[in-house]
Amino acid sequence: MTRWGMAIDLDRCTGCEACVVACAAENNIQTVGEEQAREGRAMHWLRIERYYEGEFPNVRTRFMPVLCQQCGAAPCEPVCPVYATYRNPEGLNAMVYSRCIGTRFCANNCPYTVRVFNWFDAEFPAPLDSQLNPDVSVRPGGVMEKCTFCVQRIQAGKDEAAQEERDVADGDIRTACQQSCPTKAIAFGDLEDPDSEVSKWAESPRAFSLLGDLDTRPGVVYLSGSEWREPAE
Amino acid sequence: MSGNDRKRGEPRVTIGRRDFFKVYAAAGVAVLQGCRRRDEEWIESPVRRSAALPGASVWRRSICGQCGAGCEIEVRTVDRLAKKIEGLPEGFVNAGGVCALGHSALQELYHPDRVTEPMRRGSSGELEPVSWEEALETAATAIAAAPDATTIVAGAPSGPLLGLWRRFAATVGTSPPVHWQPADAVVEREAARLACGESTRPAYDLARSDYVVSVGAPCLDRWRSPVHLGAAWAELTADRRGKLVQVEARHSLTAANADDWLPVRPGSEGFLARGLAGLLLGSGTVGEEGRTAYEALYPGAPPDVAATAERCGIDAGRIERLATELSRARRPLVMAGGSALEGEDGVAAGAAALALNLLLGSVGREGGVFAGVDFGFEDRLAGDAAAALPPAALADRLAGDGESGVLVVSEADPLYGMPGLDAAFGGAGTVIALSAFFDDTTLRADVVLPVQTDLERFQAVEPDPVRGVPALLIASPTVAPRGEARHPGDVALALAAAAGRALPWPGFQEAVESALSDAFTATRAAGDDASDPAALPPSLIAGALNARQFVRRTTDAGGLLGTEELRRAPTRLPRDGGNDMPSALPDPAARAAPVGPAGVESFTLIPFESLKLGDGRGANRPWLQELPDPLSTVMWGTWAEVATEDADRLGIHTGDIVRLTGTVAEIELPAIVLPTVRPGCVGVPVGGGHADYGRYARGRGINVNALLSTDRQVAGAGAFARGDLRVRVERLRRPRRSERPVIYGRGLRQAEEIPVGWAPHDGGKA
Repeated sequence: MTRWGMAIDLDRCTGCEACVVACAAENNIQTVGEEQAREGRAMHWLRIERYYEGEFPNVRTRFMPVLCQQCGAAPCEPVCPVYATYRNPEGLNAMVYSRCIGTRFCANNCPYTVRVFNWFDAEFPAPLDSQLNPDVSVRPGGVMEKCTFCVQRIQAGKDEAAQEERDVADGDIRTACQQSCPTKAIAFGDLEDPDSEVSKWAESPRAFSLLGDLDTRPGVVYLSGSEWREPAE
Repeated sequence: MSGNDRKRGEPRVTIGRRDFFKVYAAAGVAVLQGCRRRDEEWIESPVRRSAALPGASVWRRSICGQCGAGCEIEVRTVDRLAKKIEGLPEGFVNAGGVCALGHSALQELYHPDRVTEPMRRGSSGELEPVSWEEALETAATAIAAAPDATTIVAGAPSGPLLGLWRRFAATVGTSPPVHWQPADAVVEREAARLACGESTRPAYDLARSDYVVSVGAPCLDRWRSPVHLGAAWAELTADRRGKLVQVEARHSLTAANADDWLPVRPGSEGFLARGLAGLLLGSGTVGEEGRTAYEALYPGAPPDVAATAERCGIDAGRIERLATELSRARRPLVMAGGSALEGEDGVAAGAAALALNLLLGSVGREGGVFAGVDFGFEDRLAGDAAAALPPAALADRLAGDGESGVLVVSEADPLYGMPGLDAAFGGAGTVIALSAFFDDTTLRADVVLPVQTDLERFQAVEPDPVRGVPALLIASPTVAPRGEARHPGDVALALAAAAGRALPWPGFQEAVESALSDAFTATRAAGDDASDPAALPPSLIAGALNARQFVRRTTDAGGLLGTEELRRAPTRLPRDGGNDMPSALPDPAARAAPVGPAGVESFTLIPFESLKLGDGRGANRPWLQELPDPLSTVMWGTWAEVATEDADRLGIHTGDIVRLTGTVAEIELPAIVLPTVRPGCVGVPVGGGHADYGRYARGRGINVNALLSTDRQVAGAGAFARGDLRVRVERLRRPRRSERPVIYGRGLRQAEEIPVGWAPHDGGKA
C-alpha cells in the first residue's frame, strides 16, 4: 500500500517562497486582500516559518516550510462532527468540501496551524479567473481547506501510469511546491517504497518530525543540522 | 506526471475526463466509419489533433521575462488559457526552478486593469481610446518633428530588443536610448572593467567553488538570476562542502542563509576588501602572479586589520578568520553586487572586491570568476548604432530637451524608480509610453501604446551572463495577446515607419531571424578565424546547409545554447595608457570615513529589493502582495526594519509609525523591530507606493525611492546612488487600525522555537 510522504531539506531551503506562490497557482488559493489578511485570514496552504538563533551580530535565521503534515494520527480528524476530514488509504489527510459545515474544530485542534477557513466566497475578478486550474475546485465560503499534497497531480500520475499499463514510478508525481523549488529542497513520493527518494531522505540522520513528541506520525519529514566545517589540511 | 521524459519544446498532452468522452465519441465514429461506404466523406479523428481538444492540457515552452535571467519555462494551457508556469527541467538557466515573481507572470497576463487598447490624451486632458493608426501617427509626428529632442528610455534587459531600440534611435536620429536598469548592474560592469578588464557583468562559478565571499551581492534575493544562483548555492553547500560568507550591512535573505554574516558598516565594503587584501598579502599564501597583478592595480599599502575593523565596525578577529579561511580554500571566489555598489563610491568598492580574485588566483579558474560572455545579438541588431546610455543620463537628457522634447518610454517606469525626475518630466512636450499598465510614468503619457506581456509575445533573449556560457533563447507566443496589445519591438518598427524612417524588417521576429541569418553567413565566411567578432562558434552552425535552414533550425530548437567550453577568463586589457583603462584603481581605503551620525536619530537608509515585489514590478499581483516577506513576515505594504537596540532607545515598537526624513523628501511608514538589523541602519523595501499600477498596487505601501536624489550618483558609472543615504528616524505614533502592518500571524502553537533536531549537529566531535 502506498503512503504518500514528503521530505524537506531545511539545509537547502533559502526561504525564497517560490513554493508558496506555486501552491497558490496550482490549487486556486484565493487572496483575501489587505484588510482580511490583517485579521489573520490569509489562506496560504504552505507557509515559511522564520526563526532566529543568537543575537546580533552573531544572529542566524532559519526557515522552515510548514504545510499539512498529513498525520498518521491526525488530531484534526476525530473532532470533525460531520466526517468532512478523514484519512484515505494512501495516507492523505483528505477533505470533503461538500460535507464541511465550517465548525473549524479541526483547525483548532491542528498543532501545526495549517488549516485555513474560507470566511467569504473566493473572488477572482475577470479575467484573473482565466488562470484557475480546472482540476481543482474553487472552495466556497464557510469551508475549511488545506494542503492536499496536490491530490489532483497524484490522480493524474496514477491515470497516466494506468494508461501506459505500468505502476507509478518514483518521481512520476511531483507536487507544485516541489516542482518549483530552485534548490531542490523537497522530495515527494511513497514512504512505503524503500527505494524512493523520499524514503532515502527520511532515513537520513538529519531527519526529524515536526513536534514529533505529539506522536501525530506526520507524513512530512524534515532534514536539518549540518554545519560547514573547514576541510582538513 | 513526469516532465523529465519530454523532449525540449515538445507539447505535453494529458487527457482529462472531458477529453475521454471526446475520445469515446471519436471511437464510436471510427467504428461507424467501418460500416460506411468507402466513397463517403472521411471524418478526421479528433484524437490525431489532440492538442486542440477542449479541456486538454497543452504544455508550451516559453521564456520568463520577469527579469533578465532568462529562465526557460513550460506553460500549461487549457482551452488556450494559461493556467500554470513551471520551470523547464532542462532549462539552460533554471534547470526546472521558477521563482515567486516568475509564477506571478500569469497574474500580469490576466490582470483586470491591464491596458489593452491604444490611448491618446484628448482635448479634455483625459486619455481616450484611439486606433493604433491614430496613436502611431500622433507619436511618430512628434518624434519626426524633433528627433534631436527625443529621448528613448528602454527598460528591456540587454539583448536583441535593446539592440532594436539602439537601431531605432540611430535610424530616426535621436540620441542613443537610455537603458533603464538596476543601478548595481551598471556599477558592476564598470567595476568588472576596472578590476578584470572586461566591461560585462562577471560570471561566477558558485557551484564549483568551495569558499564564496559575497561583498553585498544578494545572490539569494532578487539579483541577476535568483533561480540559477539559488541552485548553485545549494550545490556549493551540499553536504556542507563549501561556505558562503555574506558581507552586507542588512540582514538580507542571502545573509540569512550564509554560513557567516559580516554586518559591516554601510559604505565600508571596499575598505574591508582592501583590508582583506592586506591580510592575504601578508599570509604568504598568495602566488607571485596574483601579487604582481594586484599591486599594479593598488600600489598603495593596504590598511591594517585594526583600521579595517574600526572602519567596518566589526570585530578584528572575524576579519582575520575570514582572511585565513580564504587563503586556505582550494577554490575561493569573491563576488560583488547589491548595496555594496549602490553608494557614491560603489565602483571603487566593487573593483576592490573583484580584484581580490586576482590575489586568490580565481580569475578564469574552475570555481572562480569568468567573463560574462554572450553571442552579441544586441549589437547584431543594433548594427553601427551607439551603445545605450546609463540610467542617470535621463536626468541630463530631460534637462536638455525642454518643452519641445519627446520622451518615449518602453517597458520602464523611471518616475517610480526616481521620483526626483518628476519636475523634469513635467517639462517634456510629449510623453509616449509603451506599457501594459498605468504605472507612474504611463499615467503622465500623452500617448499610450499597449504592449504584450511575456507569454503573449515572440521572445528572443540573451540571458544574464551569470553562468559564463553564452545563449540566445527564443520562444513563440504561448497564448493569444489580450485586446490590441502588440510586441514592443513591433511597435518600435511601426513607429519608425510612421516617422518616415522605416527599418529593414516588418517585425521583431523577422529582425531576430535576419540577425541569425547574418550570423550564419559571417560564421561561414570566417571559417576557422576565431577572431572575427561577427562569427559564432563554428560548432553552432555545423550541419546547416544554408542560412535559411539555420534560422529555422535555431528557432525550432528554442535558440542557440553555448557550452562550458565557451566559458573564458576576462580579456585582460593592457594598462599602458593606450586605451581608457586606468593604470591604478581608486583606493576605497584612501577615502575619508563618512561623517558620523549627527545624533541618535540619524540612520543609514538601505533600500532593498525583496523577492516579492522586486523593483516594484511585482506590486500589481495579489499573489505577491499577500506573500509574507520571508524575513519580516509583512504582507501588503511597506515597512521600515529597525534594530532592536535602536528601537529600545527611541521607544519604537513593532507597528509604530515612524517618519524617515531625507534631504529631498520624507516618508511615514510602520516600523518592524528585528534583532537582525545592524544598529544605525534602517532597511526599507522597494516596491510599494505606486500612484496606480492597477487595483492591487494603487496607493498601497510607500515608495522609498522618493528619498533618493538625482544629484547623488555613483562616481564613474552614470547610475543614481541608492546607498549610504542618511535619514532621520522619528517615532510618530501608535498606528491607526488601517495603518497597522499586516504581519503574517500564523506559527506553530506549541513552540516558540522548533524543538526537535534543530541544534546544529556536532558531528560527534564537540
